[in-house]
Amino acid sequence: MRNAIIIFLGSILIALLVAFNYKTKNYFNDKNRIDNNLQQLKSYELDINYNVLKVSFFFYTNLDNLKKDESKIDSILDLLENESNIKNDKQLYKEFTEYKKAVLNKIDESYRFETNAIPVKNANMYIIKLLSGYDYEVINNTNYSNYVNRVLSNILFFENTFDKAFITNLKKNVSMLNSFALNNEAQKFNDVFVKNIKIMNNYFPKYNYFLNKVLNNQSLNKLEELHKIFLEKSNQKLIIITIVSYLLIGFVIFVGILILYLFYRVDKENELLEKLSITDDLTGLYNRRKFQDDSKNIKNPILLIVNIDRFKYYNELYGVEIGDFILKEVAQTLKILLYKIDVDIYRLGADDFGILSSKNNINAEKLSENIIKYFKNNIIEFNNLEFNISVSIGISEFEPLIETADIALKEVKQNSHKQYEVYNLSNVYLKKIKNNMNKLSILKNTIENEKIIPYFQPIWDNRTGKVIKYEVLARVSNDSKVESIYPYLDIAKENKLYKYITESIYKKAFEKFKDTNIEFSLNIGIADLNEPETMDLINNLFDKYPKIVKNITFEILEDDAIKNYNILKEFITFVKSKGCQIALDDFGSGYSNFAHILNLDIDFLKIDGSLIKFLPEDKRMQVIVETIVKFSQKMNIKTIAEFVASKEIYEKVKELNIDYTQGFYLGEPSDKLVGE
Amino acid sequence: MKKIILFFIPLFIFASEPITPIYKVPYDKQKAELGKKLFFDPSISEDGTVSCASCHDLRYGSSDPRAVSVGVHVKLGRIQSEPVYNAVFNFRQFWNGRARNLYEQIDGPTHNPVEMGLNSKRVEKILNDNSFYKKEFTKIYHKNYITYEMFKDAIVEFEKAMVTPNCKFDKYLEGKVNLTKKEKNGYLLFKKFGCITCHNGVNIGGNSFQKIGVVYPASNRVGDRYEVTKNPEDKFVYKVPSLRNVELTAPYFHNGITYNLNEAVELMAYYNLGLKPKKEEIDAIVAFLKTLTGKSPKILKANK
Repeated sequence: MRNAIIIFLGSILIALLVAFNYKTKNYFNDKNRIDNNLQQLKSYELDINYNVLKVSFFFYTNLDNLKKDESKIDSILDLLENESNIKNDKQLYKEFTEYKKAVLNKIDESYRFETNAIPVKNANMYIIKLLSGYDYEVINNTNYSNYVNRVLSNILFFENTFDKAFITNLKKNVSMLNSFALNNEAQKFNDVFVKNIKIMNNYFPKYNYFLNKVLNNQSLNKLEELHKIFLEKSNQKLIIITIVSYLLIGFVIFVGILILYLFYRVDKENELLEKLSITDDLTGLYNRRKFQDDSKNIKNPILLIVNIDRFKYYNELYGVEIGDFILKEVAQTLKILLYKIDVDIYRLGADDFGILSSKNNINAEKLSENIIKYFKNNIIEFNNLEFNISVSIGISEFEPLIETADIALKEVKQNSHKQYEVYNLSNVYLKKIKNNMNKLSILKNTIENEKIIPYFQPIWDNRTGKVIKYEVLARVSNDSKVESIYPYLDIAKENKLYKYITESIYKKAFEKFKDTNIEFSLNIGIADLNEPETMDLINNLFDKYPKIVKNITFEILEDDAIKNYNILKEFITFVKSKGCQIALDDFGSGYSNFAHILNLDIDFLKIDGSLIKFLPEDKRMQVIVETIVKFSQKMNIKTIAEFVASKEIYEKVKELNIDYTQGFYLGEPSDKLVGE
Repeated sequence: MKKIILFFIPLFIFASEPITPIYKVPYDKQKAELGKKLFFDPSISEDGTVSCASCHDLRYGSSDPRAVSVGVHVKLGRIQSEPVYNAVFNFRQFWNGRARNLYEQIDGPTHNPVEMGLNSKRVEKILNDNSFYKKEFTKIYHKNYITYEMFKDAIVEFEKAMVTPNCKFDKYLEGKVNLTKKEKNGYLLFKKFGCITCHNGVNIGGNSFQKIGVVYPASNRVGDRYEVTKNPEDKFVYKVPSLRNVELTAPYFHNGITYNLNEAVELMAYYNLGLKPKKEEIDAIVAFLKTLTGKSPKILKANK
């Protein structure tokens, strides 16, 4: 919209400027052309005067000059007559027609002047010829000759004075000349002489008349008048042009200011957008994007990732509101703690805060200690609730900063005696690789040597106090040491070894229970369901040991149930048709969704250890577990409490009417069944 | 202003010869060639017998050797035909100057019932019915219909080309050749007697109106300026004729009164100057006049 306004105003401005330029250019062109033509007319008119005087001055001269002036004047008059500025202006056109008439008349008079001047000139020439003796020697009469001389001098006076007084004399002279008695030859001479004098007599007044007519012609005055009026009218138009140009300049300034203002606003908004794009909404700290930019522009960067311990726990148990409050408090605290130091603070992820600086500016380890100490000694309060927050810190100066600092942070999380760790290329990274390689080789070795063995953990009925079934758990048996399979699971999945673990455990479990009527539960994960060999194995085992199929319960992870709903539903339908039962494992660890559970036709719910562990002291937990139990009872689903590690928990579990108990308190996992 | 002009006049005293050499007039070649066809075409007349060339005979300096011309249906005109050669330099056309330019002049003989005897529409019909003219005009004027104005325009362009260059006197003025003693003497007498007062400029005449018979009255007043202006002063006033090619353009004067150039000079000296020059003087003047005969225009040689 704003751009449209700018483009629109700009276009109008350009159009106006072009139009104005075109108009003024035309105006000046027209004006100059007409002005020039009027000037030229004047000069040609003066040239006519000059040529007429020239004719008058010389005995003979080139008469073409007048013709040339006439044709020039004609063509200029034609041009002017077609000028719209003259044609369309009544007053100017009237003046112009009057002038045209006058100047054409003047030209006509000039020609008439020539017609009358030439006989006078010829008569003059004749007289000159007489002075040189031409035709004159024939006269043999002294008195007559003397008189002729007197007449000649009279003529010369007249000729050179143009005084009319001498004309009267000439008339007398003629009658005197004719009174002489002359011989034949002299009479002939006298005849021509008298005729020439008479020509002068006759033609001179007209000659004089037309000469004055031409030289004092009104046409030049009319031309001046025409020119004056034209210039006045042009100047009037010039005033309009000046006014319009001022208006246009005003408009240009207005549009210029407007455009500047609009640009200013765009700038402002860009600034705001930039601010938004580089800050985190919740905490007001810089965001991860800003971090990416900044880290590139800093020399020897060092990053501290500050992570809130067990933040997920706060968020899930107390709600997002409290989670957000904690994040804000931590951000605020970091700002206050670090405001004196040359560092920038970012929110890099959910509960990850980044502190970026140059290696030379800070002592990262000392700083980490201070931060950790501060949170340890201070409590965050929210609506009378007190939270004792602790943080872990990963430090790195190696690229990529976030990833390496994160590795260091994970190191901290795995080693509970440490609260910060510095990422070190030689130890952390290599240690991790070495660890993984080591694990892989152990796992491979274990699988090859059939060292994956099933352990059985009893599940007790809380009402009868008897074992109702066993959960089959995988263990790694190495050098007489038996350890959990859990640390190896990721590596097994990555290296396609997972199915061997499942195969080994399943076979051994079936073998163990084949001749009994004891119920047992097997863990199955999405990795198994996606493995055709494992599904074949299950079918084969079902076929091989048909009697005990009804004793089997498959334990499914809640997380898998949500993420791979359709595959699981298919599997459940299949095993249920064979008489198996289904338990949902770790219920309550994720975002539990009851609606899903209903659809999956579950027989048992295993309540997650995170809910059970703090059951005796945490009222909120009690409420959650109570709700789960009530819900399950209504749905005819049995509940199992996991991680029952103490008498207190066990008592609470029974109090809350949970059906079954599993845990160290009643029985640890073992390679033997109870009583064996 | 006038005073200033008067002051400067003496500076021009030696400025120029009263006669100036002939010069070329720019013209449109294509149109002129077309005009040439029209000029010689007798079909553009009432009975198909008279062309421009009938009375502007190129053998006689492009004027009529007959005292008066003969038009359609053998009707007689009343005045001597003027040469077409160098007519472009004349300040007016016709003896009495009733046409201001060549363009207006063409109307005269075309419409005159004793010459071509055609009105404009008839001219247009003749031309548009002629496939040759149709093609040529379309080619040059890019119009489908030939108008009378186009017809005149083409002839005017041809007339602009009808200039006779390189006469001996022009070359003399340009300093290329010398005149004989007699010719030089003739020119001097031409000036001294006062012929030059009227016969000057590029066309040696054709640039002013003058009365014939200033000293001794002339007779046979026909087609004079009075017929145009009705001003009694204009009786016997004619446009001064050009003296270029005068050797070829007999008979002389508006009424073609004589075929003899010597006689024509003698008559002129008598009527307008009151002189009776000696025979040698007339011979000398005639010798000078014969140096005014130019070469045939280029356009006539072009595609013969």
